[in-house]
Amino acid sequence: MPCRSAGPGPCSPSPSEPRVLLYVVRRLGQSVLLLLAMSMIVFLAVYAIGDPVELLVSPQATQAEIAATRAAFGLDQPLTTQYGLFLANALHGDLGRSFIFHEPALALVVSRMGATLELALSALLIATTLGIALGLIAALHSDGWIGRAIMSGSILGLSLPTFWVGILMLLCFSLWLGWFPAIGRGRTGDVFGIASSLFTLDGLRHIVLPASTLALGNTALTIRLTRSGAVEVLQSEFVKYARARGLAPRRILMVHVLRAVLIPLITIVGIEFGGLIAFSVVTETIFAWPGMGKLIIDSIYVLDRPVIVAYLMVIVFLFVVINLVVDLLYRLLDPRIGAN
Amino acid sequence: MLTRRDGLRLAGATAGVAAFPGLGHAQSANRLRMGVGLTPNSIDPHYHNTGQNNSALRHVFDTLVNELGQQDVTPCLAESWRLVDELTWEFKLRQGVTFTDGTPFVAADVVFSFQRVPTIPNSPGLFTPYVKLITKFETPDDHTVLMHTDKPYPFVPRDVAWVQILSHKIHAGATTDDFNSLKVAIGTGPYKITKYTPGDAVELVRNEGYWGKKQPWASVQLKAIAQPETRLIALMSGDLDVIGGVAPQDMARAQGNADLSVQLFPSVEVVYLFPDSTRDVSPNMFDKTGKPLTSNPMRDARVRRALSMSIDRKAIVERVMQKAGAPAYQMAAATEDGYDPSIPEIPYDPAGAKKLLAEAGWPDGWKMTINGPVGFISNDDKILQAVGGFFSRIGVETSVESVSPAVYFGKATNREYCLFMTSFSVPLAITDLKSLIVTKSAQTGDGPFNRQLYSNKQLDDLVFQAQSTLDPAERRKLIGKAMRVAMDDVAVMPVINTVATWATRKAAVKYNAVPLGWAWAMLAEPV
Repeated sequence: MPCRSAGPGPCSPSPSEPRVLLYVVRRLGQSVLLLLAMSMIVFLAVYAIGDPVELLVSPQATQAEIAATRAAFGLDQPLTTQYGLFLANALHGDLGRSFIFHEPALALVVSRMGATLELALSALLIATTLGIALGLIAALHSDGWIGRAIMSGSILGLSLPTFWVGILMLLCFSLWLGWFPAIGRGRTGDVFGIASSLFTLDGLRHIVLPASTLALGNTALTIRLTRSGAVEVLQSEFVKYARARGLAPRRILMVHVLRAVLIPLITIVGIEFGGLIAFSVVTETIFAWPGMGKLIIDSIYVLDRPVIVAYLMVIVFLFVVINLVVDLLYRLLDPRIGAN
Repeated sequence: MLTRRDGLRLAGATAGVAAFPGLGHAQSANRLRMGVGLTPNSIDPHYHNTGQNNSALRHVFDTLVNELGQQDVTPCLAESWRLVDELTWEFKLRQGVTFTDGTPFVAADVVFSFQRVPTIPNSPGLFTPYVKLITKFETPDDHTVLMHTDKPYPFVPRDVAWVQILSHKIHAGATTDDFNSLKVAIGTGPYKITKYTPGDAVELVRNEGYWGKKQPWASVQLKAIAQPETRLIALMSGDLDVIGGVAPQDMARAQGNADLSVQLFPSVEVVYLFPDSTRDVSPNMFDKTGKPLTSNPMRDARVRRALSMSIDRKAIVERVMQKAGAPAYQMAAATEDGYDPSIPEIPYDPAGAKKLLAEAGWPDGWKMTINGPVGFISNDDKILQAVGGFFSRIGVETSVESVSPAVYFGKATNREYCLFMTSFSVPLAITDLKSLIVTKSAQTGDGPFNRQLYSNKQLDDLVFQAQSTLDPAERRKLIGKAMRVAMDDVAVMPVINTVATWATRKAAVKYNAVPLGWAWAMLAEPV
């Protein structure tokens, strides 16, 4: 089997443990370079856009006060000095303080990460379980009305804009039916020191609507991928052979077909998970969900550079980690990949 | 549509109860949930002078007087104030007031608070404009404060309304971080803060030892919801009790809902156009063939007047704003101290405008691009489009460009626009003049937002004279005169005054809005 091309890293020649370790270390090393490049691009971009001071100062501020604010944020320095200072501090783990909130930018982003992660995880769970189940059904009944209905539904799911779906969900399930609350995260519960709204009933009620909204596009994608994969696999030699051996259809489907279908799916799901985190922005804004996405939108709006930089670096790092995990999972599911 | 929706809602209510017994939207009594666009970016009341902070933190910290954006301020921690001599104001403080930890409130706290204001590091916008003219404080006893100025300054009682009062005992050396962690979030106000999530929500409980009227709400939530559509849905579904800011396009739906009460309340915000009347050549101006103009027509006051006369302000209010606003003919709202009702309307007169253009030597007009922010003022991009349309009708072919505020204001200050639109919201007419139209000067700090560098000696003199005139009637006359000079010369073109919109669940809450647009639990009454 050829090397998977979606991941940024090369395929390592052998699955043996030290090699895997080396591979992980090399990939993490590359991520440092990536983070550096990222910070430079974001820094430059925000610098080119301008500075937020005029948006922030009071309407009665004099020019001297405006200048003083600019100086307090170091925005009066040349770009190279500003970036140099940022890098020096970043080496000590300090990504600067938010211009707006006066809190360390990294801590601010991380404090919001829990809310976003639980939202993305819930969405991922919905998308994969529902997507695979419906995809398999669609594959088994590819000529029947059920299969066709699922496939048309999935096109709808892919093409509807999140914003619109979110508002519609609010109208249906919150306003008309009154089943779920419209806004916010609800009560959080502590399990092993992790505070999450997934651990309380109130929290779960709050997460249903935003998670479903966020999951919609991915559910549709998963349905389509599962179906096309399953249709192909169902006609392959080994399935025919399994049938000939008299294996139960359920066992063929759940063990042999599913396993073959899962391999390409994992790549997509991995990439999509990063996407769910990064693009929860719209969903969080609609449902006033206090996650990173809402924070970054607010920060971009007022050019809060430390937060923008910190957020994007966290996201890049998450993408790197997710890709790495996907690659490792991939080897686990199909040992041939490491061996080639 | 409405009846169908209500029917669905009724049906849903029963279905909801069946599916999730005991999980309705019912809220505990005495709890008020307010949905606003933004919540504070810090709990330090001296950290950032911005609407959402001043509004939210006033639940926790008091000020000497209340500024609601009306003709006068009202007593709060100061029971009375008077002018002792031309340079001295005396404030008599309320007795028997304590901070929520039991520390008594005394005159030294006022001095401490005012002196703390300029010392906050890394502030995005300090409160110094309100304290810097007070040069000396005296506290003859624990309940009297004397404030001295170098020159006669009539606005001391208005300025002190912006400085929230801390304790010299509790807050000595307290940093902004100490406030944000709620360690020293201790005030004399009607509520205590129990939880703060930056950019998301603030939780408050009633201060049982409050010196003023007992508050009807045992607990209050201020929730940030950026999307106006979501705010409205959350209100309609019962997740919120009061919201500020209904989008104009949702107005009809909100007003048609029998469960809601929607009010439009005039704000102090003036939306205005600022033309470049000073440079010989201004950017984004072209002749009809598309070549850049070698002269700037807007240097001529007649041309500026023609542009201003071409705008049908009433149509903008009616159609673009769905009646959520009023035509503006001066740079102050009618509730502002210093508003002059005798300043005439600017007539909508496209024929007269064309004539003026011809007189000024531009009978065929020219081409230009004008700019405005998007998402800064309600419907800003649509207002700008309407203005561009009106200009085009008198032969000035205008295209419009709306820009994200983060980029926009920097460019406007760099003078990259020949004519731009923005808004200004202050409770005093003199501040509109002083910040926007008075000659910009780095030395004195005047005219900080005079982005097109307009300059008019006659106007400057009148404003400065008004600024040190203690007699209110005399002062208002001078401000009116200065405003008239600015309007006669068309230094800027006021377009509309906006209104603030508030919606409540009729059965639960009545909201008594004020011109400055405060989102205060103190203004909400249970029904």
